[in-house]
Amino acid sequence: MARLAGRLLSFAATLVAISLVTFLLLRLTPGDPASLSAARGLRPGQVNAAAAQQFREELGLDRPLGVQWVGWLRRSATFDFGTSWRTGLPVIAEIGQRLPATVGLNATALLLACLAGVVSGVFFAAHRGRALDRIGAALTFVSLALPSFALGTAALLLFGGGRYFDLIPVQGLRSEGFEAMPLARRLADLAWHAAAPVVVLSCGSLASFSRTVRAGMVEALQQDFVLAARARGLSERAVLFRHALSNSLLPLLSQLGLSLPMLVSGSAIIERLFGIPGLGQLLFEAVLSRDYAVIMGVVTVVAVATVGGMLLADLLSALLDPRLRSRQ
Amino acid sequence: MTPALAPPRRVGRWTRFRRSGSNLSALAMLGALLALAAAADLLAPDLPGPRATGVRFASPNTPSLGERLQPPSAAHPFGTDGLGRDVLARLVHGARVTLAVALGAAALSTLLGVLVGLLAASSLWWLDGLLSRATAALLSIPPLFLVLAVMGLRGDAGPEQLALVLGCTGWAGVARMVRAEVLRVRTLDFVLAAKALGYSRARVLGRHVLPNALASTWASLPFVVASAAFAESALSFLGFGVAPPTPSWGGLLMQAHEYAVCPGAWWLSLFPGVALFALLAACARLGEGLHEALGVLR
Repeated sequence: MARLAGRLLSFAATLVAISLVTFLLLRLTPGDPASLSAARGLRPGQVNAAAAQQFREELGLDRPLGVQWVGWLRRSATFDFGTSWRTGLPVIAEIGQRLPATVGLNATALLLACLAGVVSGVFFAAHRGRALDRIGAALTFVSLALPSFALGTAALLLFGGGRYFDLIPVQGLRSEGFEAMPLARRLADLAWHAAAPVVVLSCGSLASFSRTVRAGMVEALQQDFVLAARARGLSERAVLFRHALSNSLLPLLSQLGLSLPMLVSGSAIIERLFGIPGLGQLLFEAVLSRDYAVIMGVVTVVAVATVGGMLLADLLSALLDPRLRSRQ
Repeated sequence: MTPALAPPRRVGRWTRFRRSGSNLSALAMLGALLALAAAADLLAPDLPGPRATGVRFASPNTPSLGERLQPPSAAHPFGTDGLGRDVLARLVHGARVTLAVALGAAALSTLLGVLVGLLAASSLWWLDGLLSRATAALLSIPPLFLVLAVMGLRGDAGPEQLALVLGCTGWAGVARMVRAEVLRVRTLDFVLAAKALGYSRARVLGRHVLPNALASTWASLPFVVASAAFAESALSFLGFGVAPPTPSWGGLLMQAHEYAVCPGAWWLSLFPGVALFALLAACARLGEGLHEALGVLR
């Protein structure tokens, strides 16, 4: 219980620190949001002074930085990020529209990376030192160093229906007439559109998970309890999956939590590449039109979601680790 | 009677590093890329105006609309892009931008990270709490979202600003490592021995703690360079990196994306993609090799 409370306390402290970091970084960036937003629709250099002043007062930009931050912290705690200048909608409503695509993309990619990472890691560990293991090591090395946007561009080039094969849709998550389809067709359509982005996004994490599982398995396979399991005549599959694997899952969980920020970063690129209307695209559009409230809102929500995911991985590993459970 | 153990032969770090052929090839690859970047103006001088007929040198920024989207040929070994510019020339000049930004950002974030890590490892508990929280927060914000927001608000940027922003946002990993290593090394026996010999605090810290605590930082330098190079390319790919027409590898890949499906111009994405992969892979291999050679854990 004390451990759980400690985790939650540090989670809360991290959230406060995140709000401070985003606030400072964005606020201290040169480029005054007030004059920038008031200058929209005007010629460069021309500023609507009255509109800029009104905007400053609305957001409290004329008050000291400390007061501004406390106000920002209070508003972001209630997800009140103000309204978007571009659409006039509340920022949180805009984020709500885009959140499902991003969460779905990341969650599916993470699931795929975990499953494939575990299976391939066990496989390579079972064949350690042999040719298949060497090939696997080379493959994981390549996919760790291959940037997702290069891989995604290659996928579009080869399978996007241009010069070579017509296997994957080029843009978006839905075909035309999506609303009119029966549920099963809708799901199939969604899966068809999401397949390439999910696979491309999961590649990097898959490789690092596979490495982690392989390393844990190789270590576990030299332990006495594996020898004991073999001596009892258990099948190789039971030895690998039930005895050795459960000992290499904990490093995987902590790796999983640590890899979340990079995965979410990658999803912004993938959304742009495949035209998926998610939070990365929203941030992209907001930055293009200097929609300050949306920028702050998206960065905060993404950071909070990522930290929440990391906390979840942390709690899960505390729950699964018998050494930590018995200590309570 | 137990046989006397032979004293372990001391093997130099360079000797240990050199043993692995892949370490050397990673080093050679990085050297080649750096040489390419340094010689960009010799290989492909940036000449304004239309290219004179019969000149073999291609200029990276001169459009030639008669030669749009040509596949690789003798005149353009890596083909031409949508404005008829030579891809090889742009790749060579892009190496300069990408490497300069990556190295600059990595140097800055290592410097900041070491400073913050050392401060956090100092004995002031409130300073440690503050800096460790900031480090944890920066580590858990998806980096691309943060950098995209900052770069977007700054507007068009040159390589210096890009390196500055990437350096200022990328120090958290180094800081956490330095803090943990200083705290670990400080409790080891040789530090106790140095203290017992009556050495001054400064000498213990400067001669005994720091060199050992910072070994993992030096070994991780290639990883920091790789992540800065990746961030630069990703940002340029999204259109918020170095302002066009200055080429960078990510910017070249963004153009390649435009022409990927139609008309399927494979040369636009293949060559910058391979170049970026070579850089990242060489950095990754070098980092792993350094960790092995210096005997530090990751």
